[in-house]
Amino acid sequence: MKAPESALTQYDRLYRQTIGAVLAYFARRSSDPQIVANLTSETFERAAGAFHDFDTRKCSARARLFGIAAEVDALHTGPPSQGSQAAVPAVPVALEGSEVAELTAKIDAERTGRELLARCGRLSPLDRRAIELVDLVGLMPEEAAAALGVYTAVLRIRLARARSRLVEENQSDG
Amino acid sequence: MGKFESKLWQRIVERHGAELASTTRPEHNPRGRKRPLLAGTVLALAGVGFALAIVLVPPAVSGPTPGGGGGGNSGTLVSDVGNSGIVFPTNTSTGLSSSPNPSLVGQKVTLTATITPVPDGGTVRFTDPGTTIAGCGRVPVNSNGRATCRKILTAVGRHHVQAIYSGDARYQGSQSPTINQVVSRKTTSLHLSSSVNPAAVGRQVTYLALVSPVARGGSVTFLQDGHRIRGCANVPLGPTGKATCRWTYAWPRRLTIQARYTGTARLAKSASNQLTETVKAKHK
Repeated sequence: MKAPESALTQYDRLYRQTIGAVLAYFARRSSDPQIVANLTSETFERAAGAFHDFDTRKCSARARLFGIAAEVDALHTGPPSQGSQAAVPAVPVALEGSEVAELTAKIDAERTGRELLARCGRLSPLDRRAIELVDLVGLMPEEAAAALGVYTAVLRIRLARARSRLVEENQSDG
Repeated sequence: MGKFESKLWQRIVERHGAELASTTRPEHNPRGRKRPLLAGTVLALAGVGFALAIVLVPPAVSGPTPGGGGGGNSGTLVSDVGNSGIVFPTNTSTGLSSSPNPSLVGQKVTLTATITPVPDGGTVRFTDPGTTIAGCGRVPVNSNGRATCRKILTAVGRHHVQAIYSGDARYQGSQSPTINQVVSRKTTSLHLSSSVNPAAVGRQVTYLALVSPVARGGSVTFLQDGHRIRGCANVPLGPTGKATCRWTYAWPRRLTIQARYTGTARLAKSASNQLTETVKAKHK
């Protein structure tokens, strides 16, 4: 009898597919390698802890993962009293010199993404997240909607509005 | 995969590996097309290929070399390993046997799960069906790759028992096929006797039904030519496993008497021998 594929194997696949994107997600938000490492670690650990509950019939695993990343980011950037759980892992990731350099390179590589996020500063948080998840991370609108907890139709409307606003701002900036 | 990414994976495997390895999830069917990414974003990071390497690892435990599962036990391939040295768990398969089968209510049943290849840890959860059998939720796998649970099964019927191996950081979890454990009631026999045969009209006759083995609980119904004897239906069994029925006949006749025991949750029902009772006219 062929042994069924364990969640660990599936999670390994998800990790390989998304580790770069999740690192980039946090690299666009912080220029501190330690913070990027901690938030990435926290995201994947939370996802591992909840992986058995991932219902891929409702949304893809990577959509769920980016939903968790958004929660971790909100806990990190929100007021201290807002979240009951700290965003930083209980045991912070100890970085070696070469890892700091590696993460710094990723942070540098995300300069364009950071600039785009900065341009989105005048958009609503939902519009900003929608445009990031679809245009930067590469999620399907359905996945981004699931990650943000909104209907796909709402996501599409927000996305269209956010893009047109960015175009307008570009034109007005000359 | 970079050094940090490999290190992070090792951290996840250390903390959540056993939990993840012990569960199975339906395969995700990813949604088709990919959307184009903006230049300079994550594509360069996410699309990095992961070159697989193979390493030899020390033997897990000593013992006979099991087949299948992509691994043995002596300097053998454990699994595919990333260029960072991440070890992925070996496939396992789980077998299950029970003894005795069928068993009686109240009898201890030994459930034995056998994991191949012999893993170096992990536990086995025995379920019936889908629900963990009390006391058999986390049975450690021994050095022979076996986990044993001795349990008294109290519910009569077919039990669809399954063993689920949790796996550990080096061995993937697996589950056995379901086996049917049949639990049946203990058989009983019922002996019927008459206090006087032939009996005389107007004289009381006492029928005695004795359940063997001596039972507690249940009741006996006495039948006369297939019909219940009035006042002798559902007579509770006494502490010594006996039930009696007293009856006085009004006219001469020849009757077939039988008793039936209802049984209990643990004891099967039974019917007695058929007794031919002759009732004679009163001698003048």
